[in-house]
Amino acid sequence: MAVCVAVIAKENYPLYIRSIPTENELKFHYMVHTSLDVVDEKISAMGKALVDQRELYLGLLYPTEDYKVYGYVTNSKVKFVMVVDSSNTALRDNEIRSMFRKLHNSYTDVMCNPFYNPGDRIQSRWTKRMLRVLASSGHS
Amino acid sequence: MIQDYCKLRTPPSGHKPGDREPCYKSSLCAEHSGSCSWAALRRGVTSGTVGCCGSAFIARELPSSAGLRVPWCPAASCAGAVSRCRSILNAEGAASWVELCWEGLPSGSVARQGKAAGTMSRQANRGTESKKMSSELFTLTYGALVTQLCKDYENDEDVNKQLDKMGYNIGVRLIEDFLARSNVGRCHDFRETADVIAKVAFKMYLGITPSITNWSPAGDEFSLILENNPLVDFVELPDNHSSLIYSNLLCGVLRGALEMVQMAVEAKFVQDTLKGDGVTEIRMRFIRRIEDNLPAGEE
Repeated sequence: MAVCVAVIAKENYPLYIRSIPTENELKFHYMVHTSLDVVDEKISAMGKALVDQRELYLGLLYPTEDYKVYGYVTNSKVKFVMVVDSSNTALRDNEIRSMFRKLHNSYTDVMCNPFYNPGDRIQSRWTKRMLRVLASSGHS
Repeated sequence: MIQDYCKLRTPPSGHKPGDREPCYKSSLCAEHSGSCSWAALRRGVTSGTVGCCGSAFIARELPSSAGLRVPWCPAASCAGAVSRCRSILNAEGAASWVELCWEGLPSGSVARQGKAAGTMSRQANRGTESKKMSSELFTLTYGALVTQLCKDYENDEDVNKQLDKMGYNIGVRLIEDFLARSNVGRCHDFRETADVIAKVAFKMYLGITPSITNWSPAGDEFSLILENNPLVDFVELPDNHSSLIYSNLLCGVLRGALEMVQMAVEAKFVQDTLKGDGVTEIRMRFIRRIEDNLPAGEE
């Protein structure tokens, strides 16, 4: 089950960050922040030669003893980071991919709202609903 | 010199004046050009029915020409919309190509060919079918319009009034396009009007078909229920704009369009999906029939 989801803007500040166990939220904020370095490294490693073929899904960024962190970058350099409980070994790679795809679709819907200014924090009701869906889908 | 043909199309090569050829108004028409309204006019007939295309015509003088009589559709609403109903001038000294009024023609197929042939008109590329366009671009454009109005006016009520005014201006022009494309006749009562609005107009312009409910006992008020409104895809109203009527343009369009066909109505939103209701409901009320001749675009 995804315990934390974050949407990070191009300038590396968070647009939306939410964790499910609401105590000890700061730990997840730190984890997401440190994962940004790994994301940048992965983007620049693929680099200049392969920029067309770079896949949006970055895969496992780094594992810790309790959690695994997955990343996804869009072509506009908006990053999605998902922290997943390590004990849930049943979660497979393509499930993570599909969760990121749903997140990307709901981010696109938020961008299409004419009242949303790009760069603002996301306070949309839709995103909250979507994340509840994501959190619950991890159980199945 | 071409004498015996409708001037919509050029005759085939090898033709000689006086040859009997099929009418060129339509490739579907096998009638001899002699029964075409042009040929009839030349024979001195001043009104009748065109044999090939079935539309009635009367001979009227074209406003811009000196004494030249051309076939003209006798429908009253067509005579009013001169900008779209023009006539083909005779090739002897003819200046411009324009389209014959296609009111009264069977469903669109001949009209399309006729319009395709009137190439020098400004509306040359408009067929009777609607052009496909990205609905997302339309939705985003409308959204940008509303947000810009919100920034300019700061006050939701002013924005609502502006949207209504803009809708009114669109409506008085859109009604002409609608009447030309849809070929519907005069409505005899408000119920017919409601049907035409929901089943023809909304379908033609927005691609949705709202349902009509909640008729008042006197028959002068009804509700249009829209399950999905293409203007509000992806839109969420922020809390500081809670009294904004986002789709108020539609009310203005309905009011303006009906005013041009001599009906004063009032349209307002009573339910809106953006405010949390399940469907979008527009309440339309008939106020009175307009008897005076209002100048178009009075606002």
